[in-house]
Amino acid sequence: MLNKASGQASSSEFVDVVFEHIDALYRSALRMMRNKNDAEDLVQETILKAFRFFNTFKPGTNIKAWLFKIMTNLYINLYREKSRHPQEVGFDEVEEQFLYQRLTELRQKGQPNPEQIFFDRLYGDDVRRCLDELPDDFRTVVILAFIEGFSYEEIAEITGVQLGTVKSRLHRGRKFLQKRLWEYAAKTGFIKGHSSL
Amino acid sequence: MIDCLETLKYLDEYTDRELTGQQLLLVKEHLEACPGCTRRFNLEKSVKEFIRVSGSAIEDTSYLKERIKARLAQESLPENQDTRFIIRHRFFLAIAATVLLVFIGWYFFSRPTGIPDLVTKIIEEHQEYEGEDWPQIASSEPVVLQRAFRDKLGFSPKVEDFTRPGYQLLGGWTATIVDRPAAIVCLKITEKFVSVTVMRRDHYPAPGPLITPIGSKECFVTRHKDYHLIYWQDAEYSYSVVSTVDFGTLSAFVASFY
Repeated sequence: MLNKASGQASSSEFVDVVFEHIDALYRSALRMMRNKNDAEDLVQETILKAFRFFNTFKPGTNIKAWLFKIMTNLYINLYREKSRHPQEVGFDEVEEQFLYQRLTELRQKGQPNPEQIFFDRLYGDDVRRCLDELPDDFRTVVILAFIEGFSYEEIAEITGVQLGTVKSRLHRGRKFLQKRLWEYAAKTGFIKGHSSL
Repeated sequence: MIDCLETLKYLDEYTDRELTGQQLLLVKEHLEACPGCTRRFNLEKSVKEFIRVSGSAIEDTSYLKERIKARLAQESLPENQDTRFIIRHRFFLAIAATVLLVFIGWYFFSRPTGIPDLVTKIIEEHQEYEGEDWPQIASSEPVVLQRAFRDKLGFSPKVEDFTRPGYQLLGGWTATIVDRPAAIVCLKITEKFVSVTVMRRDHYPAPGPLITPIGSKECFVTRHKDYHLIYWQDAEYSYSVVSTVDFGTLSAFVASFY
Protein backbone atom coordinates (compact mmCIF):
# COMPACT_ATOMS: atom_id res chain seq x y z
CA MET A 1 0.00 0.00 0.00
CA LEU A 2 1.15 3.50 -0.65
CA ASN A 3 1.75 5.83 2.16
CA LYS A 4 -0.80 8.44 1.26
CA ALA A 5 0.30 10.97 3.84
CA SER A 6 3.68 11.48 2.26
CA GLY A 7 2.66 10.46 -1.25
CA GLN A 8 5.59 8.15 -1.35
CA ALA A 9 6.15 4.50 -0.72
CA SER A 10 8.48 3.24 1.93
CA SER A 11 11.76 2.01 0.61
CA SER A 12 11.34 -1.61 1.68
CA GLU A 13 7.88 -1.84 0.17
CA PHE A 14 9.20 -0.48 -3.09
CA VAL A 15 12.04 -2.98 -3.07
CA ASP A 16 9.58 -5.82 -2.47
CA VAL A 17 7.40 -4.98 -5.44
CA VAL A 18 9.98 -3.85 -7.91
CA PHE A 19 13.14 -5.86 -7.37
CA GLU A 20 11.71 -9.11 -8.64
CA HIS A 21 11.57 -7.50 -12.09
CA ILE A 22 15.21 -6.48 -12.17
CA ASP A 23 16.27 -9.72 -13.83
CA ALA A 24 13.81 -9.15 -16.67
CA LEU A 25 14.71 -5.47 -16.98
CA TYR A 26 18.38 -6.30 -17.07
CA ARG A 27 18.18 -9.03 -19.70
CA SER A 28 16.20 -6.70 -21.95
CA ALA A 29 18.48 -3.77 -21.20
CA LEU A 30 21.40 -5.94 -22.19
CA ARG A 31 19.82 -6.58 -25.58
CA MET A 32 18.89 -2.92 -26.00
CA MET A 33 22.24 -1.45 -24.97
CA ARG A 34 24.40 -4.31 -26.27
CA ASN A 35 26.87 -4.08 -23.40
CA LYS A 36 26.83 -4.77 -19.69
CA ASN A 37 27.93 -1.42 -18.29
CA ASP A 38 25.35 0.58 -20.20
CA ALA A 39 22.69 -2.00 -19.40
CA GLU A 40 23.42 -1.74 -15.67
CA ASP A 41 23.21 2.04 -15.84
CA LEU A 42 19.95 1.89 -17.72
CA VAL A 43 18.39 -0.45 -15.17
CA GLN A 44 19.63 1.67 -12.27
CA GLU A 45 18.22 4.84 -13.83
CA THR A 46 14.94 3.03 -14.43
CA ILE A 47 14.63 1.90 -10.82
CA LEU A 48 15.51 5.32 -9.44
CA LYS A 49 12.97 6.97 -11.66
CA ALA A 50 10.38 4.37 -10.69
CA PHE A 51 11.12 5.09 -7.03
CA ARG A 52 10.61 8.82 -7.47
CA PHE A 53 7.37 8.30 -9.33
CA PHE A 54 6.09 5.30 -7.43
CA ASN A 55 3.13 7.32 -6.19
CA THR A 56 1.88 7.56 -9.79
CA PHE A 57 1.75 3.80 -10.14
CA LYS A 58 -1.78 2.49 -9.83
CA PRO A 59 -1.81 -0.57 -7.59
CA GLY A 60 -3.44 -3.53 -9.30
CA THR A 61 -2.18 -2.57 -12.76
CA ASN A 62 0.70 -4.32 -14.45
CA ILE A 63 3.87 -3.22 -12.69
CA LYS A 64 6.16 -5.01 -15.11
CA ALA A 65 4.68 -3.07 -18.04
CA TRP A 66 4.97 0.14 -16.02
CA LEU A 67 8.67 -0.47 -15.35
CA PHE A 68 9.32 -1.35 -18.98
CA LYS A 69 7.60 1.81 -20.06
CA ILE A 70 9.95 3.84 -17.88
CA MET A 71 12.95 1.95 -19.16
CA THR A 72 11.95 2.21 -22.82
CA ASN A 73 11.37 5.94 -22.46
CA LEU A 74 14.75 6.45 -20.85
CA TYR A 75 16.35 4.39 -23.55
CA ILE A 76 14.71 6.35 -26.34
CA ASN A 77 15.32 9.76 -24.80
CA LEU A 78 18.73 9.41 -23.25
CA TYR A 79 20.70 6.58 -24.66
CA ARG A 80 19.66 5.74 -28.13
CA GLU A 81 22.18 6.69 -30.73
CA LYS A 82 20.83 9.35 -32.96
CA SER A 83 21.49 7.53 -36.16
CA ARG A 84 22.46 9.64 -39.11
CA HIS A 85 21.17 7.27 -41.72
CA PRO A 86 17.60 6.15 -42.04
CA GLN A 87 17.30 3.02 -39.97
CA GLU A 88 15.66 0.76 -42.42
CA VAL A 89 18.04 0.42 -45.31
CA GLY A 90 17.63 -2.84 -47.18
CA PHE A 91 15.13 -4.02 -44.69
CA ASP A 92 12.20 -4.90 -46.84
CA GLU A 93 14.09 -6.79 -49.45
CA VAL A 94 13.82 -10.02 -47.53
CA GLU A 95 11.21 -12.19 -49.16
CA GLU A 96 8.26 -13.45 -47.15
CA GLN A 97 8.69 -16.87 -45.56
CA PHE A 98 12.40 -16.69 -46.26
CA LEU A 99 13.46 -19.35 -43.81
CA TYR A 100 10.61 -21.66 -44.65
CA GLN A 101 11.49 -21.44 -48.35
CA ARG A 102 15.14 -22.29 -47.69
CA LEU A 103 14.29 -25.25 -45.47
CA THR A 104 11.78 -26.50 -48.02
CA GLU A 105 14.45 -26.38 -50.71
CA LEU A 106 16.68 -28.50 -48.51
CA ARG A 107 13.90 -30.97 -47.94
CA GLN A 108 13.39 -31.22 -51.68
CA LYS A 109 17.07 -31.96 -52.06
CA GLY A 110 16.58 -34.99 -49.84
CA GLN A 111 17.37 -33.62 -46.38
CA PRO A 112 14.73 -35.39 -44.21
CA ASN A 113 14.61 -32.98 -41.26
CA PRO A 114 16.15 -29.62 -42.13
CA GLU A 115 14.42 -27.83 -39.22
CA GLN A 116 16.18 -29.91 -36.67
CA ILE A 117 19.56 -29.50 -38.30
CA PHE A 118 18.99 -25.78 -38.61
CA PHE A 119 18.33 -25.32 -34.89
CA ASP A 120 21.09 -27.72 -33.98
CA ARG A 121 23.73 -25.64 -35.75
CA LEU A 122 22.80 -22.37 -34.12
CA TYR A 123 24.28 -21.15 -30.89
CA GLY A 124 22.74 -18.78 -28.37
CA ASP A 125 25.47 -16.30 -29.27
CA ASP A 126 24.31 -16.28 -32.88
CA VAL A 127 20.83 -15.32 -31.76
CA ARG A 128 22.14 -12.57 -29.50
CA ARG A 129 24.29 -11.23 -32.33
CA CYS A 130 21.32 -11.23 -34.72
CA LEU A 131 19.26 -9.32 -32.17
CA ASP A 132 22.07 -6.82 -31.71
CA GLU A 133 22.12 -6.20 -35.45
CA LEU A 134 18.47 -5.17 -35.56
CA PRO A 135 17.85 -1.42 -35.82
CA ASP A 136 16.77 0.12 -32.48
CA ASP A 137 13.04 0.52 -33.05
CA PHE A 138 12.67 -3.00 -34.30
CA ARG A 139 14.89 -4.48 -31.66
CA THR A 140 12.89 -2.91 -28.84
CA VAL A 141 9.63 -4.32 -30.15
CA VAL A 142 11.11 -7.77 -30.75
CA ILE A 143 12.59 -7.88 -27.25
CA LEU A 144 9.32 -6.85 -25.63
CA ALA A 145 7.32 -9.39 -27.62
CA PHE A 146 9.65 -12.35 -27.85
CA ILE A 147 11.66 -12.23 -24.69
CA GLU A 148 9.32 -10.50 -22.27
CA GLY A 149 6.08 -11.87 -23.72
CA PHE A 150 4.16 -8.60 -23.72
CA SER A 151 1.00 -8.41 -25.85
CA TYR A 152 0.77 -6.08 -28.86
CA GLU A 153 -1.37 -3.71 -26.88
CA GLU A 154 1.04 -3.61 -23.96
CA ILE A 155 3.92 -2.96 -26.36
CA ALA A 156 2.02 -0.09 -27.97
CA GLU A 157 1.48 1.37 -24.50
CA ILE A 158 5.10 0.84 -23.44
CA THR A 159 6.71 2.26 -26.56
CA GLY A 160 4.05 4.87 -27.24
CA VAL A 161 3.46 3.90 -30.86
CA GLN A 162 0.34 2.78 -32.71
CA LEU A 163 -0.76 -0.85 -32.62
CA GLY A 164 -0.32 -1.10 -36.38
CA THR A 165 3.26 0.12 -36.09
CA VAL A 166 3.98 -2.50 -33.45
CA LYS A 167 2.69 -5.20 -35.77
CA SER A 168 4.64 -4.04 -38.80
CA ARG A 169 7.88 -3.60 -36.82
CA LEU A 170 7.49 -7.02 -35.36
CA HIS A 171 6.84 -8.53 -38.75
CA ARG A 172 9.85 -6.94 -40.33
CA GLY A 173 11.97 -7.76 -37.29
CA ARG A 174 10.99 -11.40 -37.68
CA LYS A 175 11.89 -11.48 -41.35
CA PHE A 176 15.25 -9.91 -40.66
CA LEU A 177 16.04 -12.30 -37.81
CA GLN A 178 15.07 -15.37 -39.80
CA LYS A 179 17.29 -14.33 -42.66
CA ARG A 180 20.25 -13.59 -40.41
CA LEU A 181 19.81 -16.81 -38.44
CA TRP A 182 19.80 -18.71 -41.70
CA GLU A 183 23.01 -17.01 -42.70
CA TYR A 184 24.65 -17.89 -39.39
CA ALA A 185 23.53 -21.50 -39.70
CA ALA A 186 24.81 -21.55 -43.29
CA LYS A 187 28.18 -20.28 -42.08
CA THR A 188 28.60 -23.31 -39.85
CA GLY A 189 28.32 -25.35 -43.00
CA PHE A 190 25.17 -27.35 -42.64
CA ILE A 191 23.83 -26.25 -45.96
CA LYS A 192 26.36 -27.96 -48.17
CA GLY A 193 26.42 -26.76 -51.73
CA HIS A 194 23.85 -24.14 -50.97
CA SER A 195 25.55 -21.06 -52.30
CA SER A 196 22.52 -19.02 -53.25
CA LEU A 197 22.44 -17.09 -49.99
CA MET B 1 -12.95 -22.25 -44.66
CA ILE B 2 -10.05 -19.93 -45.51
CA ASP B 3 -7.21 -20.75 -47.92
CA CYS B 4 -3.44 -20.77 -47.40
CA LEU B 5 -2.95 -17.21 -48.56
CA GLU B 6 -5.58 -15.91 -46.15
CA THR B 7 -4.23 -18.07 -43.33
CA LEU B 8 -0.68 -16.81 -43.74
CA LYS B 9 -1.87 -13.26 -43.11
CA TYR B 10 -2.46 -14.38 -39.55
CA LEU B 11 0.86 -16.14 -39.12
CA ASP B 12 2.38 -13.50 -36.80
CA GLU B 13 -0.73 -12.94 -34.75
CA TYR B 14 -1.33 -16.64 -34.31
CA THR B 15 2.27 -17.21 -33.22
CA ASP B 16 2.04 -14.32 -30.77
CA ARG B 17 -1.28 -15.60 -29.43
CA GLU B 18 -3.08 -12.43 -30.40
CA LEU B 19 -5.89 -14.12 -32.33
CA THR B 20 -9.24 -14.70 -30.70
CA GLY B 21 -12.75 -15.75 -31.58
CA GLN B 22 -13.76 -16.41 -35.13
CA GLN B 23 -10.35 -15.69 -36.66
CA LEU B 24 -8.64 -18.13 -34.34
CA LEU B 25 -11.17 -20.82 -35.20
CA LEU B 26 -10.74 -20.27 -38.93
CA VAL B 27 -6.95 -20.51 -38.69
CA LYS B 28 -7.11 -23.62 -36.53
CA GLU B 29 -9.55 -25.22 -38.93
CA HIS B 30 -7.24 -24.54 -41.86
CA LEU B 31 -4.17 -25.81 -40.01
CA GLU B 32 -5.85 -29.08 -39.20
CA ALA B 33 -6.36 -29.70 -42.90
CA CYS B 34 -3.10 -28.30 -44.27
CA PRO B 35 0.28 -29.91 -43.52
CA GLY B 36 2.17 -27.18 -45.44
CA CYS B 37 0.79 -24.36 -43.32
CA THR B 38 1.18 -26.45 -40.18
CA ARG B 39 4.84 -26.75 -40.98
CA ARG B 40 5.12 -22.99 -41.58
CA PHE B 41 3.37 -22.22 -38.31
CA ASN B 42 5.46 -24.72 -36.35
CA LEU B 43 8.64 -23.23 -37.74
CA GLU B 44 7.50 -19.75 -36.73
CA LYS B 45 6.73 -20.93 -33.19
CA SER B 46 10.07 -22.69 -32.92
CA VAL B 47 12.06 -19.69 -34.13
CA LYS B 48 10.30 -17.47 -31.63
CA GLU B 49 10.89 -19.93 -28.83
CA PHE B 50 14.53 -20.29 -29.83
CA ILE B 51 15.05 -16.53 -29.73
CA ARG B 52 13.30 -16.31 -26.37
CA VAL B 53 15.43 -19.02 -24.81
CA SER B 54 18.72 -17.69 -26.19
CA GLY B 55 17.87 -14.05 -25.60
CA SER B 56 16.97 -14.57 -21.97
CA ALA B 57 20.12 -16.33 -20.86
CA ILE B 58 20.31 -16.06 -17.10
CA GLU B 59 22.54 -13.25 -15.89
CA ASP B 60 23.76 -12.70 -12.38
CA THR B 61 22.16 -9.50 -11.16
CA SER B 62 23.01 -9.77 -7.46
CA TYR B 63 25.74 -7.16 -7.74
CA LEU B 64 23.45 -4.81 -9.64
CA LYS B 65 20.71 -5.23 -7.05
CA GLU B 66 23.09 -4.36 -4.23
CA ARG B 67 24.30 -1.34 -6.13
CA ILE B 68 20.77 -0.11 -6.70
CA LYS B 69 19.80 -0.71 -3.07
CA ALA B 70 22.76 1.37 -1.95
CA ARG B 71 21.78 4.10 -4.34
CA LEU B 72 18.16 4.03 -3.17
CA ALA B 73 19.30 4.46 0.41
CA GLN B 74 20.82 7.79 -0.59
CA GLU B 75 17.53 9.01 -1.97
CA SER B 76 16.08 11.31 0.66
CA LEU B 77 13.13 9.68 2.34
CA PRO B 78 10.41 11.49 4.20
CA GLU B 79 10.18 10.54 7.84
CA ASN B 80 9.29 6.93 8.06
CA GLN B 81 5.67 6.71 9.06
CA ASP B 82 5.65 2.94 8.88
CA THR B 83 7.82 2.71 11.98
CA ARG B 84 5.48 4.95 13.96
CA PHE B 85 2.55 2.81 12.91
CA ILE B 86 4.28 -0.31 14.17
CA ILE B 87 5.10 1.22 17.54
CA ARG B 88 1.57 2.52 18.06
CA HIS B 89 -0.02 -0.84 17.32
CA ARG B 90 2.64 -3.12 18.73
CA PHE B 91 0.37 -5.22 20.97
CA PHE B 92 -2.15 -5.86 18.30
CA LEU B 93 0.58 -6.71 15.80
CA ALA B 94 2.23 -9.15 18.22
CA ILE B 95 -1.06 -11.02 18.64
CA ALA B 96 -1.65 -11.11 14.90
CA ALA B 97 1.85 -12.45 14.30
CA THR B 98 1.39 -15.21 16.90
CA VAL B 99 -1.90 -16.32 15.36
CA LEU B 100 -0.29 -16.34 11.94
CA LEU B 101 2.65 -18.44 13.14
CA VAL B 102 0.34 -20.99 14.74
CA PHE B 103 -1.56 -21.26 11.48
CA ILE B 104 1.56 -21.72 9.41
CA GLY B 105 2.82 -24.40 11.79
CA TRP B 106 -0.49 -26.18 11.76
CA TYR B 107 -0.58 -26.09 7.97
CA PHE B 108 2.84 -27.63 7.59
CA PHE B 109 2.43 -30.33 10.18
CA SER B 110 -0.97 -31.46 9.05
CA ARG B 111 -0.05 -31.49 5.37
CA PRO B 112 0.26 -34.99 3.95
CA THR B 113 3.74 -35.43 2.59
CA GLY B 114 5.64 -38.12 0.80
CA ILE B 115 5.53 -39.91 -2.47
CA PRO B 116 1.81 -40.50 -3.13
CA ASP B 117 1.52 -36.72 -2.96
CA LEU B 118 3.84 -36.52 -5.96
CA VAL B 119 1.64 -38.84 -8.00
CA THR B 120 -1.39 -36.62 -7.38
CA LYS B 121 0.62 -33.49 -8.10
CA ILE B 122 1.89 -34.87 -11.39
CA ILE B 123 -1.62 -35.79 -12.48
CA GLU B 124 -2.88 -32.35 -11.40
CA GLU B 125 -0.14 -30.69 -13.42
CA HIS B 126 -1.18 -32.78 -16.42
CA GLN B 127 -4.85 -31.85 -15.98
CA GLU B 128 -4.05 -28.19 -15.70
CA TYR B 129 -2.52 -28.09 -19.15
CA GLU B 130 -4.78 -30.61 -20.78
CA GLY B 131 -6.65 -29.20 -23.71
CA GLU B 132 -4.17 -26.38 -24.06
CA ASP B 133 -2.71 -26.62 -27.51
CA TRP B 134 -0.16 -24.14 -26.43
CA PRO B 135 2.15 -25.19 -23.66
CA GLN B 136 4.61 -22.77 -22.05
CA ILE B 137 7.38 -23.82 -24.42
CA ALA B 138 5.56 -24.11 -27.70
CA SER B 139 7.81 -25.89 -30.11
CA SER B 140 7.63 -29.14 -31.96
CA GLU B 141 11.40 -29.18 -32.37
CA PRO B 142 13.01 -31.49 -29.82
CA VAL B 143 16.22 -29.43 -29.88
CA VAL B 144 14.46 -26.23 -28.93
CA LEU B 145 12.64 -27.91 -26.06
CA GLN B 146 15.80 -29.51 -24.84
CA ARG B 147 17.63 -26.20 -24.70
CA ALA B 148 14.77 -24.54 -22.89
CA PHE B 149 14.82 -27.30 -20.28
CA ARG B 150 18.55 -27.05 -19.85
CA ASP B 151 18.35 -23.29 -19.41
CA LYS B 152 15.52 -23.39 -16.93
CA LEU B 153 16.23 -26.54 -14.96
CA GLY B 154 19.89 -27.32 -15.42
CA PHE B 155 19.05 -30.75 -16.71
CA SER B 156 17.46 -31.95 -19.85
CA PRO B 157 16.26 -35.36 -20.94
CA LYS B 158 16.70 -36.34 -24.56
CA VAL B 159 13.44 -35.06 -25.98
CA GLU B 160 13.97 -36.79 -29.28
CA ASP B 161 13.41 -40.12 -27.53
CA PHE B 162 9.84 -39.02 -26.89
CA THR B 163 8.91 -38.54 -30.52
CA ARG B 164 7.41 -41.40 -32.46
CA PRO B 165 5.05 -41.88 -35.38
CA GLY B 166 1.43 -41.03 -34.64
CA TYR B 167 2.36 -38.73 -31.79
CA GLN B 168 2.35 -35.01 -32.29
CA LEU B 169 4.89 -33.12 -30.21
CA LEU B 170 3.12 -30.03 -28.88
CA GLY B 171 5.92 -28.72 -26.70
CA GLY B 172 6.55 -28.78 -23.03
CA TRP B 173 6.65 -26.88 -19.81
CA THR B 174 8.64 -26.73 -16.63
CA ALA B 175 7.13 -27.04 -13.21
CA THR B 176 8.04 -27.35 -9.60
CA ILE B 177 6.36 -30.41 -8.21
CA VAL B 178 6.54 -30.63 -4.42
CA ASP B 179 9.58 -28.35 -4.50
CA ARG B 180 11.41 -30.40 -7.11
CA PRO B 181 12.09 -29.25 -10.66
CA ALA B 182 10.38 -31.18 -13.43
CA ALA B 183 10.53 -31.12 -17.22
CA ILE B 184 7.23 -32.00 -18.83
CA VAL B 185 6.93 -32.99 -22.46
CA CYS B 186 3.51 -32.76 -24.02
CA LEU B 187 2.29 -34.95 -26.89
CA LYS B 188 -0.99 -35.63 -28.57
CA ILE B 189 -2.36 -38.84 -30.01
CA THR B 190 -5.87 -39.36 -31.38
CA GLU B 191 -7.03 -36.05 -29.88
CA LYS B 192 -5.81 -37.02 -26.41
CA PHE B 193 -2.94 -35.62 -24.44
CA VAL B 194 0.03 -37.54 -23.18
CA SER B 195 2.47 -35.89 -20.84
CA VAL B 196 5.82 -37.22 -19.76
CA THR B 197 7.13 -35.73 -16.54
CA VAL B 198 10.85 -36.12 -16.11
CA MET B 199 12.56 -35.46 -12.80
CA ARG B 200 15.95 -36.28 -11.41
CA ARG B 201 15.78 -39.81 -10.12
CA ASP B 202 16.98 -38.92 -6.63
CA HIS B 203 14.24 -36.27 -6.50
CA TYR B 204 11.52 -38.75 -7.17
CA PRO B 205 12.08 -42.32 -6.03
CA ALA B 206 9.53 -44.93 -7.03
CA PRO B 207 6.06 -44.14 -5.64
CA GLY B 208 5.37 -47.87 -5.32
CA PRO B 209 6.86 -51.25 -6.12
CA LEU B 210 8.25 -51.49 -9.66
CA ILE B 211 6.66 -54.83 -10.46
CA THR B 212 4.81 -54.31 -13.73
CA PRO B 213 6.96 -55.25 -16.73
CA ILE B 214 6.35 -53.02 -19.76
CA GLY B 215 8.73 -53.57 -22.65
CA SER B 216 12.05 -54.17 -20.99
CA LYS B 217 11.27 -51.92 -18.06
CA GLU B 218 9.96 -52.51 -14.58
CA CYS B 219 7.18 -50.04 -13.96
CA PHE B 220 4.80 -48.82 -11.34
CA VAL B 221 1.28 -48.40 -12.64
CA THR B 222 -1.55 -46.55 -11.04
CA ARG B 223 -4.87 -45.02 -11.93
CA HIS B 224 -6.66 -41.93 -10.76
CA LYS B 225 -10.18 -41.47 -12.15
CA ASP B 226 -9.71 -41.44 -15.95
CA TYR B 227 -5.97 -41.02 -15.79
CA HIS B 228 -3.38 -43.73 -16.12
CA LEU B 229 0.05 -43.09 -14.74
CA ILE B 230 3.03 -45.26 -15.61
CA TYR B 231 6.22 -44.64 -13.72
CA TRP B 232 9.70 -45.99 -14.36
CA GLN B 233 13.25 -44.85 -13.94
CA ASP B 234 16.68 -45.16 -15.47
CA ALA B 235 20.06 -44.38 -13.99
CA GLU B 236 19.53 -40.63 -14.15
CA TYR B 237 15.85 -39.79 -14.38
CA SER B 238 12.42 -40.83 -13.30
CA TYR B 239 9.62 -40.77 -15.84
CA SER B 240 5.90 -40.49 -15.25
CA VAL B 241 3.62 -40.81 -18.23
CA VAL B 242 0.07 -39.57 -17.73
CA SER B 243 -2.86 -39.76 -20.10
CA THR B 244 -6.49 -40.65 -20.56
CA VAL B 245 -5.76 -42.82 -23.61
CA ASP B 246 -6.43 -46.49 -23.10
CA PHE B 247 -3.89 -48.44 -21.12
CA GLY B 248 -2.86 -50.56 -24.12
CA THR B 249 -1.83 -47.53 -26.15
CA LEU B 250 -0.07 -45.94 -23.23
CA SER B 251 1.92 -49.02 -22.33
CA ALA B 252 2.90 -49.49 -25.98
CA PHE B 253 4.20 -45.93 -25.86
CA VAL B 254 6.20 -46.70 -22.74
CA ALA B 255 7.44 -50.01 -24.13
CA SER B 256 8.88 -48.32 -27.21
CA PHE B 257 11.22 -46.07 -25.22
CA TYR B 258 14.91 -46.37 -26.14
